[in-house]
Amino acid sequence: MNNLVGKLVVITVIMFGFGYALVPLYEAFCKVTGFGGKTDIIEEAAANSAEIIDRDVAVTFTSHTNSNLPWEFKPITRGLNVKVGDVQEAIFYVKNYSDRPITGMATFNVTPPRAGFHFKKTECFCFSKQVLLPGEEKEMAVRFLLDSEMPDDVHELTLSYTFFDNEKYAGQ
Amino acid sequence: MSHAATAGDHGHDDHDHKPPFFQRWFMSTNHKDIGTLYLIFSLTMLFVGGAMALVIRAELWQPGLQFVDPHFFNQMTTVHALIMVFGAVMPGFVGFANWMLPLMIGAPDMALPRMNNWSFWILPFAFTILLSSFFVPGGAPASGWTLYAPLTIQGGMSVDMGIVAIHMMGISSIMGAINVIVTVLNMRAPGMTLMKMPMFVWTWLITAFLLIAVMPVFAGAVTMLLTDRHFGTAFFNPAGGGDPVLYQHIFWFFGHPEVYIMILPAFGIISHIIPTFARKPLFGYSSMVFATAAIAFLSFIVWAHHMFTVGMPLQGELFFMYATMLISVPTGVKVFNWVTTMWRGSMTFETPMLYAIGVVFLFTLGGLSGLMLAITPADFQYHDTYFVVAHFHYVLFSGAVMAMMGGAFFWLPKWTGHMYNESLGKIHFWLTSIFFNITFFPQHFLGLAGMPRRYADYPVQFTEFNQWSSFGAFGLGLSQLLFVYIIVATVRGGKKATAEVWENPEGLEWTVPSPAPFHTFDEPPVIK
Repeated sequence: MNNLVGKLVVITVIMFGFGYALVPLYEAFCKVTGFGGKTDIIEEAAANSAEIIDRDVAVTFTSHTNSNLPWEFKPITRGLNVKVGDVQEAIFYVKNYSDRPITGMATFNVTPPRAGFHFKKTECFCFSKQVLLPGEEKEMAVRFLLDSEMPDDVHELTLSYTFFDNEKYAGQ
Repeated sequence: MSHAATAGDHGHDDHDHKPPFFQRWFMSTNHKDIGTLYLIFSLTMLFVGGAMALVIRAELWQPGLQFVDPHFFNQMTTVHALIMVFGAVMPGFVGFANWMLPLMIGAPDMALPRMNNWSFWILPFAFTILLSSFFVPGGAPASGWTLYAPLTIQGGMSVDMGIVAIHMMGISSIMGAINVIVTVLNMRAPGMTLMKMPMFVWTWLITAFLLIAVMPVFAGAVTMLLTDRHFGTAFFNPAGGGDPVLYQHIFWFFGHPEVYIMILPAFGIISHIIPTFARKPLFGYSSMVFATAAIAFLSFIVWAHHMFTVGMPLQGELFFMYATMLISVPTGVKVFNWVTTMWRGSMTFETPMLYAIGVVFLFTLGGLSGLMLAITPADFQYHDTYFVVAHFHYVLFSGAVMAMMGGAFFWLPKWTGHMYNESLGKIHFWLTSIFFNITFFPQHFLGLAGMPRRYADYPVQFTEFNQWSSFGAFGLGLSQLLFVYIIVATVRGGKKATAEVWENPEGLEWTVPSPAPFHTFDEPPVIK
């Protein structure tokens, strides 16, 4: 009987751990499937040698700033007509309106989500934290290409960024 | 001769010796007393949560803001749900399990009596913490009972109190579940094989496995919330790289099995009442067992139908839609088995039977609206509207709560030794079911017309249906005072109940005297 109690307690502990295991599982699931509009990363060299296909996709850039972050953040490149396989660059503008240096971090996703997996970045300001001094403004770039696997019925897609205040996580 | 009679009395007294008041009710390890405590606690919480529902319905009597401000309204909807789910329905069924499982399987008590005491006494403290959050700055949790991140990452200290309370409730119900499993698997009377167990025992065994599978996941989810709030983790906070949608996945991985935790024991109770009053054995016993197990299994693979609108790939939506619809198959097996049990039976309509038939009818209505919600494209229209509110009250009130009321009338003579007042019982059934329908049926129409849930105000065109609903809610609430009166009157007196109580009922619980003595089945019964 005590053996059974022990087994049930072990199941309980395992299921508590399973709740936590869902975090990396979800992460891996999104990475593999592009679920949630996750994008992929590609090496600069590989990107430059990709074959360019004569097929246009209209890419729109949008930006949001979390209400806790006293920054202005907007796309300078509003939109591009991109050929599949062609490496392109979009520029964003950001300014810190506060009187203190702030660390920000941008999150992103692609709509429609199934296009996200085929949206490959070689370089992005969202790869690292951005520190802006009081009043500092700057332009930031994202370099990307659309890979040849991009679904045929995707003619336009949107890349959206949201900047968050990352001070709370600055030590990490 | 008088000497002999005295000696006999004395012997009987020893056999049924009850400890003094404090030891009996506060330190009890007796399954019947702990069952009684659970049931009283559940009924108390039903009234606390019900009072909050009446605040909601009073505010929604007409458009505009009348009685409470919107923030307090949100606290009411949130805490009403938490209280009803974790305070009324779950402990109510644990109370039934404590009282009836040992009697049904011929065991002298639950397997782990001290843990039984502990798991009950955690609950009053958990709910004291939850309810006292009304008095901290910012008031009680107001995020909805689902405690979705990122809103709950921002809330005041009441969210922390809610999280601690949920941890305690979780520990309580996990201990209760372990106790049920160990009791059922180890303490059945000789000869009672698994496939001879009464349905209520089966449904509770499966429910207990669901509990230990998903309550820890929920505990993990709220622990992640807690560390996101205070200890610098970023599971759900996008500022640190987390994902709020992840919370919804983890929550509903718990949340969907949770709704079956709240309904499977009700199916068990119904499966006892209907054969008794149809005077026929339960039709399709083994299919009932397998249907229950199938429902439990399927409950793990349908969670995302609660979140069709978060933006999922089409394949995901289709999978969760079909999996959800699949559940209606085993559920339909159960409903048809109950109806077939009644078919050509010598039916009488005592109060428990009225409740059982009411549950079969009204729960099935709730199941039907559930099928409508499972249709992904339709759900985009129904999501977070009053249609959902109507749906889950049909399955939870006219499913779980009314099944418990029927079960209470069914076993009350066994618990108290007295028959309840049959006329009052029937009046209570009709008041409850009529007012229930007046309250919740119009909410289907409100939802289809587009009224969103969890708002303190609404556009003027929704007024009439809301007034029906509010009128019904107050009637429904007040009718429950009659329930309390009937129970108190039955405890105090009434016609003596026989051991069998009903006409040739099936089950070991009817072989012990009424009221069931303090100790039963010290010698295991013989199972034929």
